[in-house]
Amino acid sequence: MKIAVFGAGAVGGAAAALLARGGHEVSVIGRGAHFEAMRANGIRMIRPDGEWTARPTCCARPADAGPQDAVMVSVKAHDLGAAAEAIQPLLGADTVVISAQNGIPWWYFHRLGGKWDGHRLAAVDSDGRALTLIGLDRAVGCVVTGAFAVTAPGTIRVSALARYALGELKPGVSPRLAALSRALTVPGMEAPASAKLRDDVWFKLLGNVSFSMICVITGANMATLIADAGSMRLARAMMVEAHRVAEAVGVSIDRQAVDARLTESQRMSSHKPSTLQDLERRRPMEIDAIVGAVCEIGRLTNVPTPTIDMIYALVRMRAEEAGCYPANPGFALRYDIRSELLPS
Amino acid sequence: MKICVFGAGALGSVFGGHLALGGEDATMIARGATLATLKANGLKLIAGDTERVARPRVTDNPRELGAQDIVILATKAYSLPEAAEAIAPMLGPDTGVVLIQNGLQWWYFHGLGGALEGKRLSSIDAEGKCERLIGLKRSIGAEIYCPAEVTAPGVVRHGPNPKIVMGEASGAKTPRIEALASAFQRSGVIAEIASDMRLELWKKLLNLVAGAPLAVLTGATNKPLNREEGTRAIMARLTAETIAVAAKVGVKLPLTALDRFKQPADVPPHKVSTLQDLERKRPLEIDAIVGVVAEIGRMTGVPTPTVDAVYALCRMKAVELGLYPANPGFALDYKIG
Repeated sequence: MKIAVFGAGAVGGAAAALLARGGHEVSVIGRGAHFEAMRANGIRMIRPDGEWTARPTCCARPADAGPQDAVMVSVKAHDLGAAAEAIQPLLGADTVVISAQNGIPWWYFHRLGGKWDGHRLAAVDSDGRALTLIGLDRAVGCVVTGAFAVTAPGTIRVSALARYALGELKPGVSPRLAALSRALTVPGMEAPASAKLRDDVWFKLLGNVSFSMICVITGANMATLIADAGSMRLARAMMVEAHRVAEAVGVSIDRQAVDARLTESQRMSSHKPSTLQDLERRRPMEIDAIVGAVCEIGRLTNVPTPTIDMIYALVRMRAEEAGCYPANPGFALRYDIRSELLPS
Repeated sequence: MKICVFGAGALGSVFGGHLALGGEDATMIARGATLATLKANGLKLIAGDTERVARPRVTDNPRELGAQDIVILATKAYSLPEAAEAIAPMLGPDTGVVLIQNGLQWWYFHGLGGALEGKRLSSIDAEGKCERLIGLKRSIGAEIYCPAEVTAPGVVRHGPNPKIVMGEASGAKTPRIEALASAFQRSGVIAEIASDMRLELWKKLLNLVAGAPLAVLTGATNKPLNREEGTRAIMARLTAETIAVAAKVGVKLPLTALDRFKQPADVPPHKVSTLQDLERKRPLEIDAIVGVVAEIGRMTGVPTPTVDAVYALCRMKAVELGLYPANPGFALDYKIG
């Protein structure tokens, strides 16, 4: 397949390298030192099974790559609108656009059916650019699992598991999705077709919204958090609220399993969540997609999220003070604290 | 009267300096570079455009001084137990010890009567050193209303009209507190004797409990914290929980949580002292300001979920930065509810 990866950080760069090694015709579109290093020397991959270099085509301008069979957009959620504009030269009549962002995806309520079908989330697509410029027909969702890091410009370290779960907006596995899944499943890269990708979204999000954000506020790593009773209580309160929101939109996942898996796998881990890494490096933080969107869906569905609201306000203020909050003027949470505090 | 100010930080210097300038028999206990500077150059007090140099007697050895009429204990809350040991040579049977620490004070439940009589606050006096070494009869509670900052060793910038509100822990109106108030007044410090010192402590705590932890967690001054709906909501909840805890121990605060929303948006920016401490990598006073509310909440069965949450976050952040003053006798139980 002819595949373009737009925004080749750790997640996109790893996909580009794995897909190129797997025989696809891959173009990488990016900018900055990491991209320039990939263009000059290829993508150096460090995986548990060894180190190797892939040499996909690297283009600074999308027009140089031209129309593709598939475009993977692996930019941060707050850059999605700009990316949707930039990828236009990559789109042909049948091009699929794979959106691989953290948090609640822009397409969440589109083609879901039911009460909120077609609702646009201000936290992730406040100006509607993703909806109009990518469009529902081209869009394929993607939930990425694994540990990815750019360790030096052009060099990416990847865990044994690199999973890019794919799903259509309309639940179910279409022939297009099955074909895409088969094509993207290459050695070192899983790309399963998920009939209910929204379940995957929430499964990942339950940990990100709770554990990760506490790490962001306190600067602690996962092991420190897990050893602290007060913070664990807070993390679990957030997880319970997020789980209720997920249930309200028809998603059924085993919260205890998420909790147990996270607590067990991270007990000894010095891992700092990516949003904390962003803060420490003074880069824009993905907090509206990971936290704000959960509060937004809570308000939509009338599920109270007092703990997540609080953490959102703290993380956002912290980000603003550090100059790491990407302006999102179309999104503002409303707080109904007056009625809560008034004596009834 | 013989007055000793223990601790030459910002507030200790404001009081020691004023008392010395007012001609009172005042000594300051200082250490290190501050001691040397005070001995050589005196203490420079800057308020607005006015600079004054005070020359209080200064030493690092309490034993030189012997028993005092008044010891003003001007340390941070977490240094109190250690300070209580250090001031022992200056304590006679009638010495008054003025406690100016933020938050509630160790003697809160002593002499109060009721079900909680004599309860120890482990967030403040985990090992009971204050109780044992200072004791109720000597303790005088105090709240300070004066922004102050050490700008260099021996140099302090402070706000106009420094003010102290004091009250005997026993509730009595004693000759020593009246004499101290007069000494302050003569020295240009507004001094008031509170009719209910516990109420005064809660009033100041209510200001701190909302602002201080949020400043620590976000790095923001009061201005953005008061501007954004989200942080205002947290402050309103912290205020409401604190008011409920105070009410349960019989204190009716003249403020509701909704008053948090009436604060004018154009208050001048101010960095709460806890945020200043964070920026200067000094230990954070979170147990006495935040932990204590959760501790009394547990004693009285009042739920404090928001206080618990911000306390846990502040504590972990402080630990992570190496700024949590070890307080091994204090740990909140999180299994409740």
